[in-house]
Amino acid sequence: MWSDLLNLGIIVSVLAATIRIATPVLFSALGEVTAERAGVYNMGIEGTMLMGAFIGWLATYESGSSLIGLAAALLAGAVMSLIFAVMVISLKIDQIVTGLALNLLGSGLSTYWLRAAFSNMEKVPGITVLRTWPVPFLSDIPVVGPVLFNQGALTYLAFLLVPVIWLFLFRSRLGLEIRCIGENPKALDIKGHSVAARQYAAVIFGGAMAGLGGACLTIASTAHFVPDMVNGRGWLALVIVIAGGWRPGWILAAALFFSFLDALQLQIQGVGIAIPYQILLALPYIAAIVALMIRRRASRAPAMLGVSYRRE
Amino acid sequence: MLKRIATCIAAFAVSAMVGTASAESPTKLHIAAVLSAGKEAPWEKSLIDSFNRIIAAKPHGLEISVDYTENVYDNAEEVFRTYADTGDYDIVFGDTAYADAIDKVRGDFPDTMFVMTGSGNRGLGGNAYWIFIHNHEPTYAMGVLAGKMTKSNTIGVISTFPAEDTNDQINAFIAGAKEANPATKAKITFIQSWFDPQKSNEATTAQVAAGADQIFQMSGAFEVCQQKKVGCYGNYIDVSSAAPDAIVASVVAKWDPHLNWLIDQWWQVKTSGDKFNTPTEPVWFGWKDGAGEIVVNKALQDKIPADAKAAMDKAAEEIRSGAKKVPLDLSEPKAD
Repeated sequence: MWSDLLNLGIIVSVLAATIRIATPVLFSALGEVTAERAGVYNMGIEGTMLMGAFIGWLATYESGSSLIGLAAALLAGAVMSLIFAVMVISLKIDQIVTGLALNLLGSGLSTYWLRAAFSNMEKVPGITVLRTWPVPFLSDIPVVGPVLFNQGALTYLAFLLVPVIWLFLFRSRLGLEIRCIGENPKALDIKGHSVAARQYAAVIFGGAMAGLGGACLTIASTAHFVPDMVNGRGWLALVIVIAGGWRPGWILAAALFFSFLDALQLQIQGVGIAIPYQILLALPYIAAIVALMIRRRASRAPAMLGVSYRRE
Repeated sequence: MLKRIATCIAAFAVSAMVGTASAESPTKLHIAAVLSAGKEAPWEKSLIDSFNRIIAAKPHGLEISVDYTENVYDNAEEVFRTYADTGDYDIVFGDTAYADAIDKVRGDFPDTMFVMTGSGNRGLGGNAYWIFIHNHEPTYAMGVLAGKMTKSNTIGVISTFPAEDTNDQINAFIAGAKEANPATKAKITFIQSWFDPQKSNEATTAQVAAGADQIFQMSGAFEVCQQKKVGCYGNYIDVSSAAPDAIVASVVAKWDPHLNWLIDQWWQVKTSGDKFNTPTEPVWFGWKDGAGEIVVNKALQDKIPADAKAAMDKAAEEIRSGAKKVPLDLSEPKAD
């Protein structure tokens, strides 16, 4: 039975699924690491992704254009995190509590809006899902082609963002300032740079990425919006940031690892190997807890993460 | 003469009493429906469609109206209590495993009929009615079609969670396919979530990679079926429009016999002055009572081989006539 898994077609299927499953969490985790490097712990990712998924879907349906849908999802994520930023950066409300409230807002607002927008319709309509974009020539390479180069445009974008975010955070002036805020905001303030402005920018960018991550679940995956369809991916993105040690490259590795476990359990069930599948379903979460425990020892968390900056 | 007068008075009195009785028979039936998911979820949609047919049919001449509350889970008790408290609702109908919530509320409202549906409940008796949708019979006939249609001799089933009201369908689908084609092997995936279209689509992709070419998609995502042109099957509602090039057939759940039975029970209690007294066993109806049907996708029906269609129709006829019994198998299904 286990040998069935080692069939080349099955291996390609698992690896290609890993890349697809990783895409939405990767967007959200890359956004979140930017905010967290600026010292802001946005626990409202789940609700932000949900609004991105919903608004992206709604705008695609209304306009007939996936591109407009994606822009709307970015905007929805940015607006959600702007609300969050005002509360935690300007009003200095507790970041954890505000994040949780943002999740409730996303869940309630998306469901309410869905009902309000289609109350007079017998059936909620569907959208046309984005097609895959095989890269010419590269997608013909055996194994590597179908796994890496026969994916959707959003997947390529998410993976390209990994080096972009790394370059930004570790090789640009603004990136250095953002990391400085996470470690020692006073140093930046003394030099006359606005801490709040940089935190706003980082948090809003993070929210926009989460909006895009949410949109992957509708525009790039399914024709319908279903209430609460993000289904814990926002929380997984938070875990991935910690497991990845707040570094984009390791965040990619963590996202791929968790997605691989999920893809593997689906394939093991699909092939029909008789082991209790509940263990397989629990695996990503067990791995997440283990990752947190390991990282606990050598935490690279920004020193001022979750602490509001106040001038003395 | 006196005797005649007495007879007249008696006759008048009797007619007056009859008149009073008919004046007291209910003319309206107000139902509150508590839904576990949104109205567009196939499970809920099938119920709403059935309610609409019953409203139009006016059983006992009743003017029936239904108010819905969606996405009720954690705070179910409060929702049931609020509806019952108003005194405006004759039946508070909960469309999932609400036994705990109903058990806490039902004693305070003995004249209200409470309803719970499907697995995860326990029999409470009294005014807590328990109905069950078992669609294993039409699903078996749909399995016969899948067994005839598969070229790889591999069928797949993708479901949400293992539960009595999904297991019955999965077991019947596989049994039907194996009857039609004994070489059939079955793949089964539970995505362990009620709503997760992306995971559901990935499960379809994984089964296609493992060789399945006829898939019973019970978790409501058909994008991969459409993209890969794999034969897919749906449940609860006609899903043909979700993937017109891929859906072969759907088994539609019809709650009509259940709703008619409940309304008859309610009517009997209200017109006789009895108390609600339902059995603790769940009540369900079979295909011959009209509790389901198979809908073949019109856009694809010309591509279905004649012998496959004939085998399905034959199984359907035998099941409906009672000549063939489909066992109700609630055990957790296992892949081959």
